[in-house]
Amino acid sequence: MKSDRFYAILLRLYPSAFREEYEREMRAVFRRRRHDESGVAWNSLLWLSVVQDTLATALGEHFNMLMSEIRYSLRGLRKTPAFAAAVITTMALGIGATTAIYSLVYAVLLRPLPFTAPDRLVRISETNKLLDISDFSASVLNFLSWEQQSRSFEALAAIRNGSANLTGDGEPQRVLGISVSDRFWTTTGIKPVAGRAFTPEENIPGKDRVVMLSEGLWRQRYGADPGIIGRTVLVNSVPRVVVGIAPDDIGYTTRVDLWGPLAANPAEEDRGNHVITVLGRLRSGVSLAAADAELNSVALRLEKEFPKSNDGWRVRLTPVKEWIVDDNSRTSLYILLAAVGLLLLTTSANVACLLVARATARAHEFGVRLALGAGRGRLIHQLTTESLVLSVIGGGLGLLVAAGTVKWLATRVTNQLPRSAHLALDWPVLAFAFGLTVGVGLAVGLAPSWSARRADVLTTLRRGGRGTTGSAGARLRLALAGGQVAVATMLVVGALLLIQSFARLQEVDLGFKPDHLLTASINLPHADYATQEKGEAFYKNLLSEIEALPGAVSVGITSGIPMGGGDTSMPIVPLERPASVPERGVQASYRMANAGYLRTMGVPLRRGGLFDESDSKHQTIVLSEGLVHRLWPDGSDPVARQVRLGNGQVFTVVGVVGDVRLTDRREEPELAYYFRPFFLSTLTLVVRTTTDPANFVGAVREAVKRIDPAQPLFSIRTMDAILDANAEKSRLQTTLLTAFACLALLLGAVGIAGVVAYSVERRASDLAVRLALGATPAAAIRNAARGGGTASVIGLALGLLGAWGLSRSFSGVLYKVQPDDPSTFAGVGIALLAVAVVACWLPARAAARIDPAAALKRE
Amino acid sequence: MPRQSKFEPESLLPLPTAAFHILVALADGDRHGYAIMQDVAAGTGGRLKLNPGTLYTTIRRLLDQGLLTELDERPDAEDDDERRRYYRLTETGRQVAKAEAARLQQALAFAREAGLAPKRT
Repeated sequence: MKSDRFYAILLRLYPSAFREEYEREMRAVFRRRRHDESGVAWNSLLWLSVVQDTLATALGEHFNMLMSEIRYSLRGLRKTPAFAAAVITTMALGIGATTAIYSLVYAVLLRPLPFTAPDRLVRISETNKLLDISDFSASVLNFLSWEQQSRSFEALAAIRNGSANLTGDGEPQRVLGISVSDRFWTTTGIKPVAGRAFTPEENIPGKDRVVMLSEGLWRQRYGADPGIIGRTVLVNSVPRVVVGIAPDDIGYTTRVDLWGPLAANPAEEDRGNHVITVLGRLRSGVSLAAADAELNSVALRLEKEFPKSNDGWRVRLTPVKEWIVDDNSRTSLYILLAAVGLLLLTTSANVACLLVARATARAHEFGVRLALGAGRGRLIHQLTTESLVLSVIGGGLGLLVAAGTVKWLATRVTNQLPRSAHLALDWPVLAFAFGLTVGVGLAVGLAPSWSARRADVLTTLRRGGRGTTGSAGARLRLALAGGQVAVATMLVVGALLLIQSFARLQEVDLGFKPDHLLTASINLPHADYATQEKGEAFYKNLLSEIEALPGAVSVGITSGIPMGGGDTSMPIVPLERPASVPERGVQASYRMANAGYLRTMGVPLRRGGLFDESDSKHQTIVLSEGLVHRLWPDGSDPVARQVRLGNGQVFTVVGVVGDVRLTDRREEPELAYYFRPFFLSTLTLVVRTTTDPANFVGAVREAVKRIDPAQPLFSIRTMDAILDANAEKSRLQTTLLTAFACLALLLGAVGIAGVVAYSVERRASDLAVRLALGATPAAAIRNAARGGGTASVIGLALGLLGAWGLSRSFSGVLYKVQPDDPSTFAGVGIALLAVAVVACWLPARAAARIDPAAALKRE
Repeated sequence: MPRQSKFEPESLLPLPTAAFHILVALADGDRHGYAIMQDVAAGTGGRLKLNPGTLYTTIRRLLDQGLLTELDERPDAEDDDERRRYYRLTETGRQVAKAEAARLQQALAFAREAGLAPKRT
C-alpha cells in the first residue's frame, strides 16, 4: 500500500493532461506487477528502474506537450500578424534597451576586477587639510618611507603615468605608458600574458632598460608576434629590451600601451612632488580603519622629520572598487538602470494590455474549450506558453536591438566611464537577457490568465463571447494603462530635468573662445634635445612656421589645455603677504604657457600685459582674476609685485587675465597662474584658424616634419571635439533618458487610447441605448472616455508623486536645476494631461458615430 | 481514411524497441496495458520488462500516430471488478510493424553475412 502511494506521488511528475488520461491505468499496471512479482524480491534495483523510467518519460511528455503548445501558439499568432508584430516589437524594444543598459552596468560595476582578492586592495592617496586637498597623488619619497615603515600591508605598489615616443620600428608613435614599482605584481596579482614581468634588479636606476608591451599595442603595432620578446625598441630614443606582454585590463584605466620599471632614484626625487598612484594590499586580519590609522601615524612622523615638504600631509585609504568607479559614474549608471527598468515596466504593461485584449476577444474560444473538457489549468498553461513564445521571439529581436545599442554606446562611453572599454554583449549579459526574456514572458502571461481565471462556460457562451473575462479584463487594462501613464510621467520628468541641466551646462562661460581652435601635443625627448635652449629653438621655429600658414590666425603653446584632462597645481604666495593670506600661500592651478597661448585662446587681458617673448632672463608670471582677489583682497594692483611658488621660485607679476574653467564645466573657474614653458615637457599647440580647424591637421603635421621628422604629433583634436567629448557622459545620459521617455510616452498614449477604443466597442449597445434615449453625441463621447480619463489622471498623479520621491537621487547629476523644480513638474503635468485628453478623445469620437439601430440589432 | 493511400510505413522506421514490441504484442488480439507488458516480457524471454511510464507514453504516441486505437473500457477477466482500457492494432499499425520486422530481418541477414550471427540451419 505504501509503495502504491509512493508511486502515485511519482506520477505527479507527468503533465496533468497525461495524468488525467493514464494515471488510473498506470497505477493498476504497477499494482499488478508488484503483486505478480511478489515472489521475486521487489528490491531497490526494480524500484530504481521504475523511478528512472518515470523521470525520463515524464520529461519527454513535458517536452512533447510544450512543443505541441508552441506549435499551437505559433499557428494562432500567424492568424493575427498585426497583434504579433505589435507585441514582439514592443518586447524587443523593452528587452533590448534593458539588456544594453545592463551590459554597461555589468562592464563598469559588476565585471570582476583583474586583481586577486580585490577586497583587500586599497588606493592610498595623500590629503592636506591646510591646502584644502582631499585626494592627491603621493610623492615617490613618501611612498618609499611608507614601504619601509608601515606594517599593515603585504605589499605596496607605485604607479607613475606618462607617455612616450615609440620609434625605431615603423612610424613614430605616441604611446601611453606607466612605470611600476617592483612589488606592483604581488600587490595587484596582475600577471604578464606572455614573457615575464620586471625583476627587482630591473627596478634599480641604470638597470632599467627594459619594457613590457600591452596586449593591445602588441597586436596593433607588432601583429601579436611572439618574437618581439627579447627584441629592442626605442622609447623616447632610448633603446629598451621587450621582456613581456602585459594584459590590457588593469582595472582602473582605459588604456596603457607601454610598461616600464619605476626605478626611482631617491637622490633625484623631491618629497613635495606628488606624482604617483599608490596601491596597497592589506595584510589579512588588518581592517581598513586600522591600516588607515597606522599609515597616518607614519605620515605624522614624516611631517616631523620633513616639515618643509610634508606640512599638513596625511593619507587616505579607499577600497579600489570605490576609487575606480567614482560616485558620479555610479549614480549615472543607477539612474540609467532605473529609467530603463521603468521603460521595461511600461513595455511589459503595454504587452499585457494587448494580451488581455486578445484573451477577451478569444473568450468564446476559451468557453468552447472549457465546455469540451479542457481544464482551466490547461488554458492558463496555454496562455502562458503563448506569452513565452512571444517573449522569446521578442527577446531574440531584443538582442539585435541590444547589440546595435551596445555598439553605439561603446563609441561614446569608452573615455567617459571607467572600465567601459570592456563593454560587450558577453555571456553574463546574454544570461541576463535570457532571464529577462523568460521573466517578462511569465509576468505578462499572468495578465490574460488572471482575466481568464473566472472564464466559465455558460455565461461566456450565452453572452456571445464577451462574458466575464470582459469586465475583469477591462478593469485590468485600465489599471495597466494608468500604470503606463505613471511610468511615462516619471521618465518625462527625469528627461526634462536632465535636458535643462545639460542646456545650462552648455551655456556656462568657459572663460575662453572654444571655436576654430586646433590642439596637438608634442614631447621632445631628452635624448634628442638635451637643453632647454634646443627645445626653445624647436618651438620658436615651429610656431613661426604655423603662424605663416594661410588661414592661421595665431598660435600658442601650453602645458595643459582646458578640459584636456588632468591638472597641475602648486601654492603661490606674495612676497609682501597681506595678513589674510596664509603663510604657505594659496593652492592654485598652474599652466606653463606663452603669450601666444592666452591670445589664441581668447582669454581676456584685464590688467598689465603678457609675457615678453624676447625676454627669457626675467621670471614673469600672469595671474587669473580670481587668484588676484585671493592674494590681494584689498584690490591693490598686483602688477610688478613679486610672488613665490611652492617650489621656491620667485616671479614678477606682469599681467592679470580672465578666469578660465580648466577641468570641469560644473565647477567654478580655478584659481590659476601662467608662466613661461619648460620646453622639454609635453606641450600642446593651440592654433586659431579662420576656417574649420580640422582641415589644418595635415599642414601642422607637415610643419613639424619640416623641423624634425622624428617627432610625432599626438592628441590632435579640435577644441570643439574636446568639449564634445567632455559633455559626452551627460549628453549620453540625457539622450538615452529622453529616448526612453518618448517611447514610454508613446506607449502610454497608445495604452490609454486602446483602453478607450475598447470601452467604446464593449459598451456599444449601452451607448446606443443612451443615444436612442436622447443623449447628445458629446455626452456619449464623455461617457466612453471616462474610464481612460480617470486612469490617465490617477496615473499622472502617481507618476508626479513617484518622480518627486525619486528626484532626490538626481541631485548629484543635475547642474543648476532643482530636482524638484516646480515649473518642470507643473509643465509635465499640463503637457501630459493634454496628451491624455487627445489619447482619450480620438478613439472616443467613435461613440458619437454609433448607429443605435445597428448596434442594438447586432445584440 | 483518404490519407492512407499516401501513407508510407517506412516513414516511421526505425521504431523504438518498446513501440515495436507493443505492436507485436497486439498483433494477435486486443489487450490491455498489463497484458501487453506480460506479452512483451514473455516474447523476449523476460529480458524486456516495460515499466508503466515507457508503456503508456509509447501507447499515447502510437495512438497519436494512428497505429493503435483505443477500445471502450471493459472488465479485466483476471482482475475481478476493475475496468480496463483495451488497445487494438490498426491496419496502419500492422503495416508499420511488418515493415519494421522486414527491416530487422534485413539487418540480421547482414550480420549473418559478416559472421556476427549464427547461420540458419
